[in-house]
Amino acid sequence: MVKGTKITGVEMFASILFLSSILFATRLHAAEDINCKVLTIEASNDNSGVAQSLKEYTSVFSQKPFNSFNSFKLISETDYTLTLNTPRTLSLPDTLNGILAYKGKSDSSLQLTLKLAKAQQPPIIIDGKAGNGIPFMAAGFKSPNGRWILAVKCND
Amino acid sequence: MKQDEKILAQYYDDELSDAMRTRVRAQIESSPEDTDALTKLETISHFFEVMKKENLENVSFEGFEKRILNEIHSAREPVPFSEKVGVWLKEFLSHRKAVWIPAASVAGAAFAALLVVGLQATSVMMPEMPSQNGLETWQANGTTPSVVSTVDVTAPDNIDVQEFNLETEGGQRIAVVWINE
Repeated sequence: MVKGTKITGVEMFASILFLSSILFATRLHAAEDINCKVLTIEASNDNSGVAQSLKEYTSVFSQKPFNSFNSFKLISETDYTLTLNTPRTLSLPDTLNGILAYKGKSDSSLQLTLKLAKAQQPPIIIDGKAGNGIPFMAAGFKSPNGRWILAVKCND
Repeated sequence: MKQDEKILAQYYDDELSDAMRTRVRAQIESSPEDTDALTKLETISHFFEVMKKENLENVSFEGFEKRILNEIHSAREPVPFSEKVGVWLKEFLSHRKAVWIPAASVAGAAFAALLVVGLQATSVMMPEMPSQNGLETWQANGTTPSVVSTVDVTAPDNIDVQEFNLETEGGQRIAVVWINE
């Protein structure tokens, strides 16, 4: 400290207040982020059944429209951190293009928008509302062996 | 009587009072020695002026500024970092009334605004929600909802899209969009 200079209590309080506001703003910004998992699954009829990593969806895959397939393989599982109203481009197979955006919270549900398109085709826009850790799925695009299933699951 | 050389020089340089000057002039006029001494003084003075003029004409000021600046630069020593910080702190703190107090006011206002926005926009200050393991969603009345994800689809006319709500093993329903390519 420079000799002869004193910091008063008011100045100390101001410093603490200033630093607190910066910390609070940082936390506020972080609170607007959510973490999402995008599962890319391929449904086919190669008689291999449901992959072990997808066992939690066995009952879902036994229902229409998935019950016309007997095999479900997890192709990829990618984590994304989404910031409010900042769309993220998804890494998807083939010529499939996808964008996922977090639109905020409604009650206890997360509001998400998933845009999917193949090559240069116009996009299909899916506005999803899901609870924490609850997925919604978009499926049906043709894959090399059957159809693609995309499961989006987010936590705030 | 011979005039004092110092007074004679002052007379020549016009540094005497009027009364003194009159008295000295009278003395010089009446004394051939003083007249001679004054003439010598004039000659020497003239000689010095000529020399001064010649010297000045021979002096070159070309590059003078550059030489001075070079000397200043070579004499300058690097200031240690700690000294720089010390000077900065001293300057900053010496103006605390002009800097710190307004900063505190702004910070306080910003903090209050952030607090209000934070309370409204986030759950930072809200009670903790029950943990969710993917099989249930919290509701105020404690009942388990039957639908835990929903979708609203907008698709081009040429693409057939169907929506499903499929039941999970936990009894909840999740939304599925089927795109018929």
